[in-house]
Amino acid sequence: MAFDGVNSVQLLQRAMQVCTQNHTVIANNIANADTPNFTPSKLDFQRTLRDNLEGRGRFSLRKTQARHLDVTREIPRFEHIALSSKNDYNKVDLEQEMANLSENTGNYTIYGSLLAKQFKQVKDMLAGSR
Amino acid sequence: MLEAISGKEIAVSGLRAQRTRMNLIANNIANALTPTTAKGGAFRRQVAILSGEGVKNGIQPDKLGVRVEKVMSDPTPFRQVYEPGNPYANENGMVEYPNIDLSVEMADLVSAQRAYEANIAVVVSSRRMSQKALEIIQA
Repeated sequence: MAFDGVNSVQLLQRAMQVCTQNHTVIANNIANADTPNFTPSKLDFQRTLRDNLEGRGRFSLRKTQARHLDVTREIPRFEHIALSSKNDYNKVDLEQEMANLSENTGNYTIYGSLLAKQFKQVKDMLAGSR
Repeated sequence: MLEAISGKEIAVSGLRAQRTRMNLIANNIANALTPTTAKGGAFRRQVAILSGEGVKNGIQPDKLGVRVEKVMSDPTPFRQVYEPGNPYANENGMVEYPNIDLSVEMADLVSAQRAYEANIAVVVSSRRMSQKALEIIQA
């Protein structure tokens, strides 16, 4: 259950928290789908990931083989180009937001199931020890 | 601090705003042929002005969601219709009718309805997430 000092229960818990935050961001974008001059927000996973890979975050990657990928390489960042057909300077892409919402809910469900599985394993283990 | 407000509450603010838009559109359509009002003159088309903010670091949770900032009157000129027999006609026989175009209102109505449905989808997915979180303790 634990590797490199990272407890998988804590990891899943953190992942679910991130999903909850992302859900709030997506909900705000959808609620403002008709607000003039509104620019949608997005959780910046890319920068967080890069910071972590480059050792500025909480985790870092070690190269144990010469052929391992260089982690300092620039990771492409996708800028959201709003193809807005509206004349109120609103940049919300409703279809994209709905897709993000569904993906985020799916991820949350997966993490929840995995967490439930972890606890069930502990329960089974305790039952077996009796 | 984003946990302080749930996605459901934000979606409800969206539902409320879209409902207000739909009510205004219904009122506009109902008054499409009203040549006189208590304030005098024909009925003016009303529009809801929405306002909201994007999620940023350090944003106050009560700033999230969408609000109806105000309801404003459409300043475009009234429709002039030649009806000499109408008691509200001026000396040239012209009657001022509201600046309401039914096709514009119907298009706005569909737009408000779709936005309402999108917010409903957020409420549904919030509920699914809560249910999933509850399933963890049932395992």
